Amino acid sequence: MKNEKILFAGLTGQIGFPLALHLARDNEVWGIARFRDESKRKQLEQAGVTTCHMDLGRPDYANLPDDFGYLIHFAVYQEGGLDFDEAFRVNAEGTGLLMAHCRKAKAALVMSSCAVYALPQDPNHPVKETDPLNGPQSAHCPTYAVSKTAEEAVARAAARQLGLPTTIARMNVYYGTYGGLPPWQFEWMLAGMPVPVQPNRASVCSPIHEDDINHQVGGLLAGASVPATIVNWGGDEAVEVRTYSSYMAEITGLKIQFQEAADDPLAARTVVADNTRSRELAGDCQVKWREGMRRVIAARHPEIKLRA
Amino acid sequence: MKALKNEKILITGPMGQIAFPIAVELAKDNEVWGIARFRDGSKRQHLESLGIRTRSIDLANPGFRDLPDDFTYVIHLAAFIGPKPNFDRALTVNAEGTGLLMGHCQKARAFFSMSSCSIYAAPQDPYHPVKESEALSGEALPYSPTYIASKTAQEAAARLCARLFNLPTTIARMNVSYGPNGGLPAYQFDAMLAEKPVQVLSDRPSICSPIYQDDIVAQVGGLLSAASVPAKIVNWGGDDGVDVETYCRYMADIVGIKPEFERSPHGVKHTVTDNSLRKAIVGDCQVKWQEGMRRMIAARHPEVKLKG
Repeated sequence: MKNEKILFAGLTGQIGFPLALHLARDNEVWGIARFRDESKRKQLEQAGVTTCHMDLGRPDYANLPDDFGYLIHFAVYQEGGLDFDEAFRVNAEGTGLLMAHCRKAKAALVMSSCAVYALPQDPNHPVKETDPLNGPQSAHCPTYAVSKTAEEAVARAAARQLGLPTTIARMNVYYGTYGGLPPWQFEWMLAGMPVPVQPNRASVCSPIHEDDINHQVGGLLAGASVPATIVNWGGDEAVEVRTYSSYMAEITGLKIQFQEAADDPLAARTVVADNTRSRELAGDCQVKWREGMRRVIAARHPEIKLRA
Repeated sequence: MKALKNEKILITGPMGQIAFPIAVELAKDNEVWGIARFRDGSKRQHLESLGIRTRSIDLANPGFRDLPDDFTYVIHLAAFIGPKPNFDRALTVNAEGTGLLMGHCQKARAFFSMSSCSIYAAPQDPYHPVKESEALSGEALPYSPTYIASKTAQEAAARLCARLFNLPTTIARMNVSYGPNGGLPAYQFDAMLAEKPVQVLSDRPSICSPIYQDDIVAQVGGLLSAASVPAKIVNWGGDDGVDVETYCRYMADIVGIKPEFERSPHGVKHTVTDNSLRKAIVGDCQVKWQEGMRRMIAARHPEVKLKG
C-alpha cells in the first residue's frame, strides 16, 4: 500500500502498533485510540502518524476527516469482567459507527478473531470460515467471543447498508515484537514460571508473524467486498503450543515446564485455521514459525544468545 | 397501557406463532402491513382477508421497492431458525436483514426487534432471575445450532442501527411464549396427548417464565413506546417462574392424562427472567400460568374436557 490515506483504529495494540508504523512509511496514516500509553502515541507521531483521541463506544467524529481511502479497524474492548453492555457498545456499535464515518472509503478491514468459532471436537481440524460459530467464553475475558461475534454481525450489516467493501479477518494466534501469545509464554519461561496448557485437549494453533501481517494487509483489503468477505488470518503451519514453547526453550537454553489447568485463563483454547481463502487473497506466509519465533526473541531480548 | 391506533405498522414474519395474534389484533385499529417470504400462498391470502397488506420479501436479500418507507412503527419478529449449521445464512437473515430493514424504516417513530433469552449464558443457579445486564454466550440449541449466535448478532445489528439512524428501538428478549397459537407448553401438551414423553434436563431443573399470548399482544405497544436511542433492551417473560415439569403435570392433571418425562443431559437450558424493567414499562401480566394453560388447551383442543 502506497500513498493512501488510511484511518487506523486501535493502533496501540500489539498487532496494530507495528502495522501502523509499517504503513506510515509510505502512506498518510491517521490513528484513533484512547492512547492510555502516551509514549506509544509519541512514537506513532514521530513516525508521521496523525493521532486523535477517540472512545469508539462514544465517538465524536466532528474533527476527524472522512475522506480516507482505507479503514483498518483493530481496536477492541477486551477487559476482564462482565460488562457485556460496554463490550457491545464498543465492539459492535462502535464498529458500525466507525464504518459509517468512513463510508466513502475504498475498503474496510475489520479485525475479528478465531475465538468466534465453536471448538471443533478434533483439535487438529482446520476450521473453515463457514464452520460453526458460538465460541466458548474465555476465562480471561468473558465478553470477548460473544462481542467479537457481535462485531462481525455489525460489520456485515454495515457493509451492506453503506455499500462499503469490507473484509472481516479472523485472527488466529499473532506473535511479534510487541507481544502475542508465544512471546508472553516465553516471558513466563524466562521468569521461571510454567506455561499453562489445556489438560484434555491439544492446543494446536496457526501462529502468524508480524511481518506476514504487514505483507498481507494489502491483499486482504483488496479482497474486500459487499457482502463482507470473511477470512481466517493465521499462519500456514499448524503447531501445538507445547511444541513451539519447547523450541523456544531449546534455542535459549531455558528449562520448560507445562502446567495442565483447564480453568487457567492463560491456558489457551486454540483452533487451527484453514487458510485456503487468505492464501487466495494475500498469498502464502513468508515466515516459518521456527524462524519467526527466533526473530521475535532476538528482537525482544537482544541480551539472549540464541543457539543454532 | 398504550394501545396503538391509527398507526401505519409493519410486522415482519406475520404468520409466526407470536406475530400472528399481534398482527390480527393491531389490524383492527391500524393500517398493518406484513412481510415474509410467503412460500405458502394460502397463508398470505388469509392475512389479506384479515385486512393486512402483504409483500413478499426475503430479508436475506430484500427488495424494498414495493414496500412503503413511511411506517410509524415496525415490529420485527421474523427470524431464521433452522436445524442446519448454516451460519452464514443465519447471520445474513438475522443480522444483515435486521440492519437493512432498519435502514429502510429509519423514519419510523420506533422499531421493535425480537430477541431471545436463550442468548444468556445459563446461570449456575437455575432459579436465579436473569437481568438484562447479565452474561451473554448462550450454548448452542440442540435443534438449531445457528440460533443463539445469530440472535446475538441480530441484537448487535439492532443496537448499531438505533444509533446510526437515530431510530428509537426496543430489543425484547422473549422467554417462553405460549397460547392458542402455539409455543413450547402447547407443543409439550400435544406430545403428552399423543402419549409421548416430555423432554427435560436430567441434571438441572427447567425453570422458565412463560408469558401468555394475550399479555404479549397487550404489552407490545407499551414496549414500543419505551423505545430509545441507544436501544432499550428488556426481558419479556411472564411474572412467575415455573418448572417445565410442574406446568406439564398441571396440564396433564386438568385433562386427566399421565405425564411422562424423558431425562437427558442434552436439551434446552431455560432461564427465569428478572422482569423489573418490563414491569416498569408495561406493568404486570394479567394471565397467571395456570389460567393461561387452561385457556390454551381449551382453544387448541375443544374436544378435551377440562377438570375444574
